[in-house]
Amino acid sequence: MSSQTTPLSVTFWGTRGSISTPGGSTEKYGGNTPCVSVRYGEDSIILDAGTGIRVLGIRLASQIREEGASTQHILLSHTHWDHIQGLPFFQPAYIKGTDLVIYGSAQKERFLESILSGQMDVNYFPVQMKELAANVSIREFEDRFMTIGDIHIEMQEQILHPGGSIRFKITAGGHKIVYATDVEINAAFEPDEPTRETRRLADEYSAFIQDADLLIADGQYTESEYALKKGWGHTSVPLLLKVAHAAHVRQLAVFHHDPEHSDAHFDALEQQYAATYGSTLPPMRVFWAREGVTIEL
Amino acid sequence: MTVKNAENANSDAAAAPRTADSSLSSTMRLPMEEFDAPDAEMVLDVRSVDDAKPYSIRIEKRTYEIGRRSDADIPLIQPGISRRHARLFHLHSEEIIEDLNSTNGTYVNGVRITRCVLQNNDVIRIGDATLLFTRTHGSVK
Repeated sequence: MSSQTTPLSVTFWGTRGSISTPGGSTEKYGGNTPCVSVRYGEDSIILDAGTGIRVLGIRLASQIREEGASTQHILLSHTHWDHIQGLPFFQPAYIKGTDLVIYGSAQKERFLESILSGQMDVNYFPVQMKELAANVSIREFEDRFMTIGDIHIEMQEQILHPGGSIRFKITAGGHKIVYATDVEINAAFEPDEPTRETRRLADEYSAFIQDADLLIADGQYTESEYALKKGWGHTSVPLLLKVAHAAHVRQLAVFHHDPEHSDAHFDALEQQYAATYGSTLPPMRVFWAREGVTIEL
Repeated sequence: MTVKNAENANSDAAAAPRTADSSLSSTMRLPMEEFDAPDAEMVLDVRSVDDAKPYSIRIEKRTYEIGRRSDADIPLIQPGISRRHARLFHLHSEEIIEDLNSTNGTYVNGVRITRCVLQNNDVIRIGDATLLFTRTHGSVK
Protein backbone atom coordinates (compact mmCIF):
# COMPACT_ATOMS: atom_id res chain seq x y z
CA MET A 1 0.00 0.00 0.00
CA SER A 2 1.41 3.39 -0.94
CA SER A 3 1.71 6.05 1.71
CA GLN A 4 -0.05 9.40 1.62
CA THR A 5 3.25 11.10 0.77
CA THR A 6 3.72 9.10 -2.42
CA PRO A 7 3.62 11.56 -5.29
CA LEU A 8 1.08 11.33 -8.05
CA SER A 9 2.86 12.23 -11.25
CA VAL A 10 1.71 12.87 -14.79
CA THR A 11 3.84 12.74 -17.94
CA PHE A 12 2.77 14.06 -21.33
CA TRP A 13 3.98 11.88 -24.22
CA GLY A 14 1.64 13.23 -26.89
CA THR A 15 -0.46 16.40 -26.78
CA ARG A 16 -1.47 17.05 -30.39
CA GLY A 17 -4.95 16.39 -31.68
CA SER A 18 -6.17 14.86 -34.93
CA ILE A 19 -2.88 14.01 -36.64
CA SER A 20 0.78 14.00 -35.71
CA THR A 21 2.59 17.16 -36.71
CA PRO A 22 6.36 16.81 -36.85
CA GLY A 23 8.47 19.84 -37.75
CA GLY A 24 10.42 22.74 -36.41
CA SER A 25 7.37 24.82 -35.54
CA THR A 26 5.89 22.15 -33.25
CA GLU A 27 9.02 20.93 -31.51
CA LYS A 28 8.37 22.67 -28.19
CA TYR A 29 4.81 21.55 -27.43
CA GLY A 30 5.20 18.39 -29.48
CA GLY A 31 3.71 16.81 -32.55
CA ASN A 32 2.67 13.40 -31.23
CA THR A 33 -0.99 12.57 -30.75
CA PRO A 34 -2.47 11.94 -27.29
CA CYS A 35 -0.79 9.82 -24.69
CA VAL A 36 -0.43 10.63 -20.99
CA SER A 37 0.92 8.40 -18.25
CA VAL A 38 -0.05 8.64 -14.60
CA ARG A 39 2.06 7.07 -11.87
CA TYR A 40 1.37 6.61 -8.19
CA GLY A 41 3.98 4.60 -6.34
CA GLU A 42 4.28 1.24 -8.07
CA ASP A 43 1.01 1.69 -9.95
CA SER A 44 0.63 3.35 -13.31
CA ILE A 45 -1.87 3.79 -16.09
CA ILE A 46 -1.64 5.09 -19.63
CA LEU A 47 -4.33 7.35 -21.04
CA ASP A 48 -4.77 6.93 -24.78
CA ALA A 49 -2.45 5.33 -27.30
CA GLY A 50 -1.76 8.06 -29.83
CA THR A 51 1.64 8.28 -31.48
CA GLY A 52 3.13 9.59 -28.22
CA ILE A 53 2.92 6.10 -26.76
CA ARG A 54 5.83 5.01 -28.95
CA VAL A 55 8.44 6.89 -26.90
CA LEU A 56 6.80 5.82 -23.64
CA GLY A 57 7.00 2.23 -24.92
CA ILE A 58 10.72 2.58 -25.56
CA ARG A 59 11.26 3.76 -21.98
CA LEU A 60 9.08 0.97 -20.57
CA ALA A 61 10.77 -1.70 -22.68
CA SER A 62 14.12 -0.68 -21.32
CA GLN A 63 12.69 -0.79 -17.79
CA ILE A 64 11.19 -4.24 -18.45
CA ARG A 65 14.54 -5.53 -19.67
CA GLU A 66 16.14 -4.36 -16.43
CA GLU A 67 13.40 -5.21 -13.96
CA GLY A 68 11.37 -7.94 -15.63
CA ALA A 69 7.93 -8.14 -17.21
CA SER A 70 5.10 -6.02 -15.94
CA THR A 71 1.45 -5.20 -16.53
CA GLN A 72 0.58 -2.15 -18.62
CA HIS A 73 -2.91 -0.69 -18.36
CA ILE A 74 -4.03 1.47 -21.28
CA LEU A 75 -7.31 3.36 -20.97
CA LEU A 76 -8.71 4.65 -24.25
CA SER A 77 -10.93 7.73 -24.29
CA HIS A 78 -12.21 6.54 -27.68
CA THR A 79 -10.94 4.86 -30.80
CA HIS A 80 -10.45 7.69 -33.26
CA TRP A 81 -7.14 7.29 -35.08
CA ASP A 82 -5.24 9.90 -33.13
CA HIS A 83 -5.92 8.00 -29.90
CA ILE A 84 -5.00 4.47 -31.01
CA GLN A 85 -2.49 4.81 -33.81
CA GLY A 86 0.57 4.42 -31.62
CA LEU A 87 -0.53 1.07 -30.25
CA PRO A 88 1.19 -1.07 -32.92
CA PHE A 89 4.46 0.74 -32.07
CA PHE A 90 4.24 0.16 -28.31
CA GLN A 91 7.31 -1.95 -27.62
CA PRO A 92 6.08 -3.74 -24.47
CA ALA A 93 3.43 -5.36 -26.69
CA TYR A 94 6.27 -7.26 -28.34
CA ILE A 95 7.80 -8.52 -25.08
CA LYS A 96 6.83 -12.00 -23.96
CA GLY A 97 5.57 -12.07 -20.39
CA THR A 98 4.16 -8.54 -20.49
CA ASP A 99 0.48 -8.28 -19.67
CA LEU A 100 -1.13 -5.58 -21.76
CA VAL A 101 -4.64 -4.65 -20.70
CA ILE A 102 -6.50 -2.22 -22.93
CA TYR A 103 -9.75 -0.69 -21.70
CA GLY A 104 -12.33 1.18 -23.72
CA SER A 105 -15.97 2.05 -24.01
CA ALA A 106 -18.52 -0.68 -24.51
CA GLN A 107 -20.82 1.79 -26.20
CA LYS A 108 -19.54 1.19 -29.70
CA GLU A 109 -21.30 -0.35 -32.61
CA ARG A 110 -18.36 -2.65 -33.14
CA PHE A 111 -16.66 -4.49 -30.36
CA LEU A 112 -13.55 -2.79 -29.09
CA GLU A 113 -11.43 -5.80 -29.92
CA SER A 114 -12.45 -5.74 -33.55
CA ILE A 115 -11.78 -2.00 -33.83
CA LEU A 116 -8.28 -2.32 -32.39
CA SER A 117 -7.33 -5.46 -34.27
CA GLY A 118 -8.76 -3.84 -37.42
CA GLN A 119 -6.02 -1.21 -37.46
CA MET A 120 -3.48 -4.06 -37.38
CA ASP A 121 -5.09 -5.84 -40.29
CA VAL A 122 -2.50 -7.06 -42.78
CA ASN A 123 -3.54 -4.35 -45.24
CA TYR A 124 -2.55 -1.65 -42.77
CA PHE A 125 0.25 -3.14 -40.70
CA PRO A 126 2.65 -6.07 -41.00
CA VAL A 127 2.06 -7.51 -37.54
CA GLN A 128 -1.40 -8.62 -36.54
CA MET A 129 -2.69 -8.21 -33.03
CA LYS A 130 -2.88 -11.96 -32.42
CA GLU A 131 0.85 -12.18 -33.21
CA LEU A 132 1.88 -9.84 -30.40
CA ALA A 133 4.17 -11.53 -27.89
CA ALA A 134 2.53 -9.90 -24.87
CA ASN A 135 -0.60 -11.28 -23.25
CA VAL A 136 -3.11 -8.81 -24.66
CA SER A 137 -6.45 -8.44 -22.95
CA ILE A 138 -9.04 -6.05 -24.33
CA ARG A 139 -11.77 -5.06 -21.89
CA GLU A 140 -14.82 -2.92 -22.31
CA PHE A 141 -15.72 -0.83 -19.28
CA GLU A 142 -18.50 -2.55 -17.41
CA ASP A 143 -18.83 -0.08 -14.61
CA ARG A 144 -18.30 3.63 -13.94
CA PHE A 145 -15.59 2.85 -11.43
CA MET A 146 -12.45 0.79 -11.49
CA THR A 147 -9.30 0.47 -9.43
CA ILE A 148 -5.79 -0.33 -10.55
CA GLY A 149 -3.61 -0.85 -7.49
CA ASP A 150 -4.04 2.32 -5.43
CA ILE A 151 -5.29 4.36 -8.38
CA HIS A 152 -9.05 4.90 -8.45
CA ILE A 153 -10.71 5.75 -11.73
CA GLU A 154 -14.16 7.07 -12.51
CA MET A 155 -15.45 7.21 -16.07
CA GLN A 156 -18.15 9.28 -17.71
CA GLU A 157 -19.32 9.18 -21.31
CA GLN A 158 -18.98 12.38 -23.31
CA ILE A 159 -21.57 12.56 -26.03
CA LEU A 160 -20.43 15.94 -27.35
CA HIS A 161 -17.90 14.42 -29.72
CA PRO A 162 -18.64 12.53 -32.93
CA GLY A 163 -18.88 8.86 -31.91
CA GLY A 164 -18.53 9.79 -28.23
CA SER A 165 -15.57 9.64 -25.89
CA ILE A 166 -14.91 8.98 -22.22
CA ARG A 167 -13.50 11.30 -19.59
CA PHE A 168 -11.59 9.93 -16.63
CA LYS A 169 -11.26 11.11 -13.06
CA ILE A 170 -8.19 9.63 -11.44
CA THR A 171 -7.69 9.84 -7.70
CA ALA A 172 -4.74 8.66 -5.65
CA GLY A 173 -3.00 9.89 -2.53
CA GLY A 174 -5.65 12.52 -1.94
CA HIS A 175 -5.12 14.13 -5.36
CA LYS A 176 -7.47 14.32 -8.30
CA ILE A 177 -6.68 14.44 -12.00
CA VAL A 178 -9.32 14.73 -14.70
CA TYR A 179 -8.57 13.79 -18.30
CA ALA A 180 -11.33 15.15 -20.51
CA THR A 181 -10.23 15.31 -24.10
CA ASP A 182 -12.26 15.26 -27.29
CA VAL A 183 -15.39 16.99 -26.13
CA GLU A 184 -17.15 20.11 -27.36
CA ILE A 185 -18.34 21.70 -24.15
CA ASN A 186 -19.44 24.82 -26.05
CA ALA A 187 -22.47 22.82 -27.15
CA ALA A 188 -23.46 22.39 -23.50
CA PHE A 189 -22.44 25.74 -22.01
CA GLU A 190 -23.18 28.04 -24.96
CA PRO A 191 -25.79 26.21 -27.03
CA ASP A 192 -27.73 27.97 -29.77
CA GLU A 193 -30.89 26.84 -28.01
CA PRO A 194 -30.54 25.96 -24.32
CA THR A 195 -32.52 22.92 -23.25
CA ARG A 196 -32.80 20.82 -20.15
CA GLU A 197 -30.39 18.37 -21.79
CA THR A 198 -27.72 21.01 -22.52
CA ARG A 199 -27.98 22.25 -18.94
CA ARG A 200 -27.64 18.69 -17.67
CA LEU A 201 -24.54 18.11 -19.78
CA ALA A 202 -22.99 21.36 -18.58
CA ASP A 203 -23.70 20.55 -14.93
CA GLU A 204 -22.34 17.04 -15.39
CA TYR A 205 -19.07 18.37 -16.84
CA SER A 206 -18.67 20.99 -14.09
CA ALA A 207 -19.35 18.46 -11.34
CA PHE A 208 -16.87 16.00 -12.81
CA ILE A 209 -13.99 18.50 -12.95
CA GLN A 210 -14.86 20.25 -9.67
CA ASP A 211 -11.80 20.86 -7.45
CA ALA A 212 -9.46 18.91 -9.71
CA ASP A 213 -5.81 19.35 -8.82
CA LEU A 214 -5.07 18.96 -12.52
CA LEU A 215 -7.49 19.10 -15.42
CA ILE A 216 -6.17 17.94 -18.78
CA ALA A 217 -8.78 19.19 -21.18
CA ASP A 218 -9.63 19.68 -24.82
CA GLY A 219 -8.97 23.29 -25.78
CA GLN A 220 -8.26 22.91 -29.46
CA TYR A 221 -9.67 26.12 -30.88
CA THR A 222 -9.47 29.83 -30.43
CA GLU A 223 -12.82 31.58 -30.22
CA SER A 224 -12.73 32.67 -33.87
CA GLU A 225 -11.78 29.17 -35.05
CA TYR A 226 -14.56 27.64 -33.03
CA ALA A 227 -17.12 29.78 -34.82
CA LEU A 228 -16.12 28.00 -38.02
CA LYS A 229 -15.88 24.54 -36.50
CA LYS A 230 -19.05 24.09 -34.49
CA GLY A 231 -20.02 20.45 -34.25
CA TRP A 232 -16.49 19.18 -34.87
CA GLY A 233 -16.30 17.89 -31.29
CA HIS A 234 -13.72 20.21 -29.73
CA THR A 235 -13.74 23.12 -27.29
CA SER A 236 -12.66 26.74 -27.48
CA VAL A 237 -9.99 28.00 -25.10
CA PRO A 238 -11.81 30.99 -23.51
CA LEU A 239 -14.80 28.88 -22.54
CA LEU A 240 -12.65 26.07 -21.17
CA LEU A 241 -10.78 28.53 -18.96
CA LYS A 242 -13.99 30.08 -17.69
CA VAL A 243 -15.61 26.74 -16.88
CA ALA A 244 -12.47 25.30 -15.27
CA HIS A 245 -12.01 28.36 -13.10
CA ALA A 246 -15.63 28.33 -11.98
CA ALA A 247 -15.14 24.68 -10.94
CA HIS A 248 -12.11 25.64 -8.82
CA VAL A 249 -9.62 23.67 -10.89
CA ARG A 250 -6.14 24.30 -9.52
CA GLN A 251 -4.08 23.55 -12.63
CA LEU A 252 -5.32 23.40 -16.18
CA ALA A 253 -3.33 21.74 -18.93
CA VAL A 254 -4.86 22.75 -22.24
CA PHE A 255 -4.66 19.68 -24.46
CA HIS A 256 -5.41 18.23 -27.90
CA HIS A 257 -3.58 20.95 -29.79
CA ASP A 258 -4.76 21.82 -33.25
CA PRO A 259 -2.40 20.55 -35.98
CA GLU A 260 -2.36 24.03 -37.53
CA HIS A 261 -1.08 25.70 -34.37
CA SER A 262 2.60 26.41 -33.89
CA ASP A 263 4.73 26.74 -30.76
CA ALA A 264 4.61 30.52 -31.14
CA HIS A 265 0.80 30.37 -31.11
CA PHE A 266 0.78 28.49 -27.79
CA ASP A 267 3.45 30.74 -26.28
CA ALA A 268 1.26 33.73 -27.08
CA LEU A 269 -1.87 32.11 -25.62
CA GLU A 270 -0.05 31.05 -22.49
CA GLN A 271 1.29 34.55 -22.02
CA GLN A 272 -2.18 35.96 -22.55
CA TYR A 273 -4.03 33.72 -20.12
CA ALA A 274 -1.55 32.41 -17.51
CA ALA A 275 -1.06 35.74 -15.75
CA THR A 276 -4.79 36.56 -15.76
CA TYR A 277 -5.90 33.28 -14.22
CA GLY A 278 -2.85 33.06 -11.95
CA SER A 279 -3.92 36.23 -10.20
CA THR A 280 -7.64 35.47 -9.86
CA LEU A 281 -9.28 34.18 -6.73
CA PRO A 282 -8.90 31.29 -6.41
CA PRO A 283 -5.78 31.26 -8.59
CA MET A 284 -5.68 28.72 -11.41
CA ARG A 285 -2.41 27.80 -13.06
CA VAL A 286 -2.91 27.54 -16.82
CA PHE A 287 -0.44 26.00 -19.24
CA TRP A 288 -0.46 24.38 -22.63
CA ALA A 289 0.49 20.70 -22.26
CA ARG A 290 3.76 19.84 -23.84
CA GLU A 291 5.56 16.60 -24.60
CA GLY A 292 8.32 15.46 -22.31
CA VAL A 293 7.03 17.23 -19.22
CA THR A 294 6.37 15.42 -15.95
CA ILE A 295 4.55 17.20 -13.18
CA GLU A 296 3.91 16.02 -9.67
CA LEU A 297 0.85 16.75 -7.58
CA MET B 1 16.96 19.27 -41.40
CA THR B 2 17.26 17.70 -38.01
CA VAL B 3 16.91 14.09 -37.00
CA LYS B 4 16.41 14.20 -33.25
CA ASN B 5 17.52 10.64 -32.65
CA ALA B 6 17.98 7.35 -34.36
CA GLU B 7 14.74 5.97 -32.93
CA ASN B 8 12.78 8.36 -35.10
CA ALA B 9 14.41 7.16 -38.24
CA ASN B 10 13.79 3.51 -37.50
CA SER B 11 10.11 3.42 -36.73
CA ASP B 12 8.77 2.69 -40.17
CA ALA B 13 5.51 0.77 -39.97
CA ALA B 14 6.86 -2.08 -42.02
CA ALA B 15 9.59 -2.56 -39.47
CA ALA B 16 7.52 -3.11 -36.34
CA PRO B 17 9.53 -5.36 -34.04
CA ARG B 18 8.16 -8.80 -33.32
CA THR B 19 9.99 -8.72 -30.04
CA ALA B 20 11.37 -5.69 -28.29
CA ASP B 21 14.72 -7.45 -28.08
CA SER B 22 15.09 -7.51 -31.81
CA SER B 23 16.56 -4.28 -33.07
CA LEU B 24 14.23 -2.10 -35.05
CA SER B 25 15.01 -2.30 -38.70
CA SER B 26 13.57 -0.62 -41.72
CA THR B 27 12.59 -1.86 -45.13
CA MET B 28 13.24 1.64 -46.42
CA ARG B 29 16.44 2.73 -44.80
CA LEU B 30 16.99 6.42 -44.47
CA PRO B 31 20.33 7.63 -45.78
CA MET B 32 21.52 8.87 -42.41
CA GLU B 33 24.66 10.45 -43.82
CA GLU B 34 22.43 12.95 -45.61
CA PHE B 35 20.66 13.83 -42.40
CA ASP B 36 23.68 14.70 -40.34
CA ALA B 37 22.30 16.48 -37.28
CA PRO B 38 23.38 20.10 -37.04
CA ASP B 39 25.56 21.13 -34.15
CA ALA B 40 23.63 22.57 -31.26
CA GLU B 41 25.08 25.11 -28.91
CA MET B 42 23.31 25.16 -25.57
CA VAL B 43 23.70 27.85 -22.98
CA LEU B 44 22.25 28.55 -19.55
CA ASP B 45 22.09 32.21 -18.58
CA VAL B 46 22.06 32.20 -14.81
CA ARG B 47 20.68 35.09 -12.81
CA SER B 48 20.91 34.05 -9.19
CA VAL B 49 19.75 37.15 -7.32
CA ASP B 50 18.96 40.70 -8.33
CA ASP B 51 22.26 42.22 -7.26
CA ALA B 52 24.49 39.43 -8.57
CA LYS B 53 26.02 39.65 -11.99
CA PRO B 54 24.34 37.24 -14.44
CA TYR B 55 26.63 34.71 -16.05
CA SER B 56 26.39 32.12 -18.81
CA ILE B 57 27.31 28.46 -18.87
CA ARG B 58 27.88 26.64 -22.09
CA ILE B 59 26.40 23.16 -21.70
CA GLU B 60 28.98 20.59 -22.65
CA LYS B 61 28.86 17.94 -19.93
CA ARG B 62 26.23 15.20 -19.79
CA THR B 63 25.11 16.13 -16.27
CA TYR B 64 25.04 19.26 -14.14
CA GLU B 65 23.87 19.32 -10.56
CA ILE B 66 22.26 22.52 -9.38
CA GLY B 67 21.94 23.37 -5.70
CA ARG B 68 23.02 25.26 -2.63
CA ARG B 69 26.18 23.17 -2.15
CA SER B 70 29.28 25.16 -2.99
CA ASP B 71 30.64 22.19 -4.94
CA ALA B 72 27.50 21.90 -7.12
CA ASP B 73 28.13 22.22 -10.86
CA ILE B 74 25.87 25.24 -10.80
CA PRO B 75 25.89 26.57 -7.24
CA LEU B 76 23.00 28.79 -6.21
CA ILE B 77 23.84 29.79 -2.69
CA GLN B 78 20.76 31.45 -1.34
CA PRO B 79 17.72 30.63 0.80
CA GLY B 80 14.88 28.61 -0.66
CA ILE B 81 17.19 26.37 -2.64
CA SER B 82 17.92 22.81 -1.56
CA ARG B 83 21.48 21.55 -1.26
CA ARG B 84 20.85 19.17 -4.17
CA HIS B 85 17.97 20.90 -5.90
CA ALA B 86 17.88 19.86 -9.55
CA ARG B 87 19.84 18.08 -12.22
CA LEU B 88 20.32 18.97 -15.87
CA PHE B 89 21.22 15.99 -18.01
CA HIS B 90 21.51 14.83 -21.59
CA LEU B 91 19.45 11.83 -22.77
CA HIS B 92 18.54 10.69 -26.27
CA SER B 93 19.68 13.98 -27.85
CA GLU B 94 17.63 15.99 -25.40
CA GLU B 95 18.46 18.18 -22.44
CA ILE B 96 16.31 17.37 -19.43
CA ILE B 97 15.88 19.25 -16.17
CA GLU B 98 14.85 17.10 -13.23
CA ASP B 99 13.87 18.20 -9.75
CA LEU B 100 15.70 16.24 -7.04
CA ASN B 101 12.85 16.21 -4.53
CA SER B 102 13.67 19.77 -3.57
CA THR B 103 11.66 21.51 -0.88
CA ASN B 104 10.49 24.43 -2.97
CA GLY B 105 10.34 22.87 -6.41
CA THR B 106 11.67 23.54 -9.88
CA TYR B 107 9.61 25.55 -12.36
CA VAL B 108 9.80 25.74 -16.14
CA ASN B 109 7.95 28.70 -17.62
CA GLY B 110 5.93 28.94 -14.41
CA VAL B 111 4.90 25.27 -14.22
CA ARG B 112 6.23 23.17 -11.34
CA ILE B 113 7.78 20.13 -12.94
CA THR B 114 9.39 16.89 -11.91
CA ARG B 115 11.09 16.41 -15.26
CA CYS B 116 10.98 18.47 -18.42
CA VAL B 117 12.61 18.18 -21.82
CA LEU B 118 14.01 21.66 -22.36
CA GLN B 119 13.33 23.74 -25.44
CA ASN B 120 14.89 26.93 -26.68
CA ASN B 121 14.13 29.96 -24.46
CA ASP B 122 12.71 27.97 -21.55
CA VAL B 123 12.99 29.82 -18.26
CA ILE B 124 13.84 27.61 -15.28
CA ARG B 125 13.12 29.05 -11.85
CA ILE B 126 14.78 27.65 -8.76
CA GLY B 127 14.10 29.66 -5.62
CA ASP B 128 14.68 33.27 -6.65
CA ALA B 129 17.16 32.29 -9.34
CA THR B 130 16.28 32.11 -13.01
CA LEU B 131 18.13 30.12 -15.64
CA LEU B 132 17.39 30.83 -19.28
CA PHE B 133 18.03 27.85 -21.55
CA THR B 134 18.90 28.63 -25.15
CA ARG B 135 19.81 26.31 -27.95
CA THR B 136 21.09 27.47 -31.27
CA HIS B 137 21.60 25.10 -34.14
CA GLY B 138 24.65 25.36 -36.34
CA SER B 139 24.51 25.32 -40.10
CA VAL B 140 23.13 22.20 -41.74
CA LYS B 141 25.86 20.23 -43.41
